[in-house]
Amino acid sequence: MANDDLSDSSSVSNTAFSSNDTASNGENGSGTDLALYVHIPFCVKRCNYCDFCSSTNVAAIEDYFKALHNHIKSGAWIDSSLRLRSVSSIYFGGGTPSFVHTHLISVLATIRETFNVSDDCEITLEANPESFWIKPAMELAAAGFTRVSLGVQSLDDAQLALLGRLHNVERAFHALQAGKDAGLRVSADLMLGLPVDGANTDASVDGADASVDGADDIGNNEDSGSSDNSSDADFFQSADFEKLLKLVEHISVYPLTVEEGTELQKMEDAGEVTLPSEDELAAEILRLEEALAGHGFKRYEISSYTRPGQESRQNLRYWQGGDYLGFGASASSMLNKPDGGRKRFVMYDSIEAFLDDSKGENENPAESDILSPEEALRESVMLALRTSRGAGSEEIESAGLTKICDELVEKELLEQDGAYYRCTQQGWLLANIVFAAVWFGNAPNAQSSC
Amino acid sequence: MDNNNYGLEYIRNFSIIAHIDHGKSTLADRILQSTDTVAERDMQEQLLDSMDIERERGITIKAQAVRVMYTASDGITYRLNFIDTPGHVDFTYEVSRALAACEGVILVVDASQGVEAQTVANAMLAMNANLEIIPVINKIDLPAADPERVRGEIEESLAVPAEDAVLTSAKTGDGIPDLLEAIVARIPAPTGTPTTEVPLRALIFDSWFDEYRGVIALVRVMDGILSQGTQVRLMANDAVADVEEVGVKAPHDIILPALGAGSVGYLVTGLKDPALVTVGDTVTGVDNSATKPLPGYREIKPMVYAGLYPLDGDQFTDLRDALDKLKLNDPALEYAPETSHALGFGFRVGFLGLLHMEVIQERLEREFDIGLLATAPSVSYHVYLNDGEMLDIHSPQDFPDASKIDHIEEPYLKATVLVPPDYVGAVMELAQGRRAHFIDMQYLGPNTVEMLYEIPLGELILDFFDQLKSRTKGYASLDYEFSGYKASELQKLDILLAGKPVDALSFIVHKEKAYERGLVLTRKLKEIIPRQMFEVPIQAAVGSKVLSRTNVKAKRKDVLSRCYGGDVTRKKKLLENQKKGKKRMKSIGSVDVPQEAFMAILKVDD
Repeated sequence: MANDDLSDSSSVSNTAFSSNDTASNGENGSGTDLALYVHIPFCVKRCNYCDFCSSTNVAAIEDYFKALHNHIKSGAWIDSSLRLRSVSSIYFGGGTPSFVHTHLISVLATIRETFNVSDDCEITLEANPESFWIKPAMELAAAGFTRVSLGVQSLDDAQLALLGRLHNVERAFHALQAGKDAGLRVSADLMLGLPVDGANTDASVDGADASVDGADDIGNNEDSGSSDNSSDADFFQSADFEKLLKLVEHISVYPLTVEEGTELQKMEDAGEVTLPSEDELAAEILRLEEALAGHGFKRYEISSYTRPGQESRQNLRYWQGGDYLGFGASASSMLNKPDGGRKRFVMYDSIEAFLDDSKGENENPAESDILSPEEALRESVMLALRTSRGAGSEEIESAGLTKICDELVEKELLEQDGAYYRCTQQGWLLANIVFAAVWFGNAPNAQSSC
Repeated sequence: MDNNNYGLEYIRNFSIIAHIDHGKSTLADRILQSTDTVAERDMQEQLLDSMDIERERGITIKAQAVRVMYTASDGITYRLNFIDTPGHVDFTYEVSRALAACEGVILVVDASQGVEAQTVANAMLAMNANLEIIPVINKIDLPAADPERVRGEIEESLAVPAEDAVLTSAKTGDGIPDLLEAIVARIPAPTGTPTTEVPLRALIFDSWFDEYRGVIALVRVMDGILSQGTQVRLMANDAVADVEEVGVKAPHDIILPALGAGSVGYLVTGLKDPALVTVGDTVTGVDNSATKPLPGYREIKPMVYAGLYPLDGDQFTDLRDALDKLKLNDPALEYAPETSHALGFGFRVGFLGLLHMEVIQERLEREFDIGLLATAPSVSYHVYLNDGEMLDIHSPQDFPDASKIDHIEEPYLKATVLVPPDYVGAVMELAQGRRAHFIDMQYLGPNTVEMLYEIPLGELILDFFDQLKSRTKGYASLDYEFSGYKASELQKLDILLAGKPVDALSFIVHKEKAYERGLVLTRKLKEIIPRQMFEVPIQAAVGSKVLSRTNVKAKRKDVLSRCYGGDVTRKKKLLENQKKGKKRMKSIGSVDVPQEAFMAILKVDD
């Protein structure tokens, strides 16, 4: 399964923005607390769109967890000072962590023995509806898990089947209810831009194409713009959608991307499925956002919406420059350096590499990305612009990005509100342009040298 | 022993001709192998095609000559000189010169496909050169092989006797001994007088530049003796060169004291200027000079011009150096610096044809690692101004203002299309759409019609060959030769992006075609140019008159929100990949234009 992104785990008591003051100000060093990420790369079946690190080889599970315990206890790459720091959030991602929930409980116990886990620590697991019901939910809650992020993805059985998911809508509601009944905070992942069966035969797709062609005519200068896709509009007002929002306090939304080498790519190439156009997808994102707002969900990060105070602490940590350690195959870590630079690294780039060092003796990361203090400043601005609070103008100034951000304001991708710059509606939709401009330090569509 | 003293009667000079994919290169490989010319361990496929591009694309660009020693059933060891030739119409002149160096050809026909158009065109070339033709029916190992049917086709459509056709399988090696025997028995020995009494005359059929040894030429000696240590004169260019070395390729170089009449070999001149040693020229002695050169010499001139611009402006000097280097082995290449408002500094480069252009572009990118942007090819126009002055214009952007032009002439070709009768209608339709004038048509046999046209070169380079192939299911073959300049009602059509003309997208079009081409091109560009942050109008205009317009809509969504497990590094890589994708484009004003846009005009008939 390996679902989507970043999942999110939220801060329980504090609202997210006040919980990590130092980090949220973009100061490197980011306070003394720490987040942990544990990668569980096992799935019953790989989803059609998935290109993450996951395996269906269940025979390796026992070995994997043995190694995981060893690494957490005594991984050679973990500086002992890190063990003294207060761990404020832990996230189990996958793969399908819920598929091996008893293992998660014992890993959490090992973490508690060897790290300084705070009393109010946010502890999230990623779960798939087919492997999450009331019994595991209760057991996980009893073990200290505070939050579950369920890969609901869609409320349409036909689309779930096309994605290669193992659950249906009914199963998803059972799982959401189980999380709630067990006292966990519940988040749901939803995907947008889902495929429809067959090649371009769906009426809504045809309709949209026609509107594109309309703008094509010579002499017709009008952009016919967002094509209203009425079937989706209905969906966001459907009973199922309302039911979903009653069960969750947090929603993560991802536009589906067709990754190289996935089953979905083959299906698309073979004309078995059709993906919505850019215009349709943009319209869908806007409609969802509107529907969510109607139910009191506000965006706090580019792909995350929540009721007030239910932000994911782990999620925000990634964007606020806080330190975190990743355990297991393909897990990434980030540590701020005393000089203001940063080190991002992945210790093991595959399950095999991880199992080869089952005792955790390796000290050299498989991949690392060392950022200079200047790069770290630019990165901080880029990451902060993923959040709805935005990036502070002082931070932007010290990163030397004021001119670029002002240009982005001029292009209506950013807006300035007091001491913060943040994405506009247009900026959220074209966020890659914003991020690239900030990260590469030049304005979009700059003249190339010639 | 001294190979040079071999009597003429023991020499055979031949070439292999075939329709594409009928097994020419494999057959050549097999001949080299079975005569032990190449040791088993040194054998690799398409041995004679030494450039990577030749091997990958299965084409031959440069001619090659290999000497093969073969002991025939009569107990005598013969010298077989095998001359491999380029197979594309861009290089027809080189092919004709290579065939002029032979006494016979092996005409390879696929045992299941049978005679195809290119088989006919190539056989005609050989017949015109009065060469002995040995038909070879190849791939007899295939289940669908039908040698009897193919034999009939060869006799019927080529009028070549085929009762003695050799049956081979280059794949299994079957029939190769028969073929070698047939070469000895049926191809005539060369004639000529291999003595110093007669003036030397040798035909240059290929040449290249060697960094250490200067220009090296492949020659066929027709008369007299070409001896090492003497001086020779190149008749067309009237240049004198020292014969620093002569020898044969087997396929490694074997140095000989001299090459006598009837022989094929290489000549090291020490000359540093490749332009002096041109294909088709005659080499003669300085003291005992021939009075007349060998027939058929023609100066090779570029037919097609295109702008080549480095994607990275800093690579302009690298591009110049690379062109200088390629020019050494390819005298047909011409170039001069050119400046475009849209693309910056680059070169206007002249080529023999579109394949030549593609090959050069690919070599520049591959061998010299220069990212290139090529503009659509154009031809050389003769523009007559009101004051009577004539300008030779190679680039649409150099066109003078319409008010100053009296009239314009464009180059025409005489084109020969060979096609099965079923496709005559399809060819006529295509030709009509391309302003071609019909000249004549005749049946060469029940399966082959020859159609003659006069067609503007400017129309032919617009994807004509691909269109001809696709409309005739690959059966048609095309050959052409320059026929002269003729007046035409031509106009310069400009393309405007976001209201600004883009000089590199301008092209020359016939008045009656301007509207249609403008419409097609704006639509094509709309597909090619990605959405930008703002709507981009695309207009086609002649002078100030807009003929058509369309819009690229503003980008609606560009977001990859996935960021799994805090893997920010991966996310940044995605941004970097996006940026790299953009680097393959040129920013013109505020519009990012991909490379294909500049070639879009070539796809007018899609």
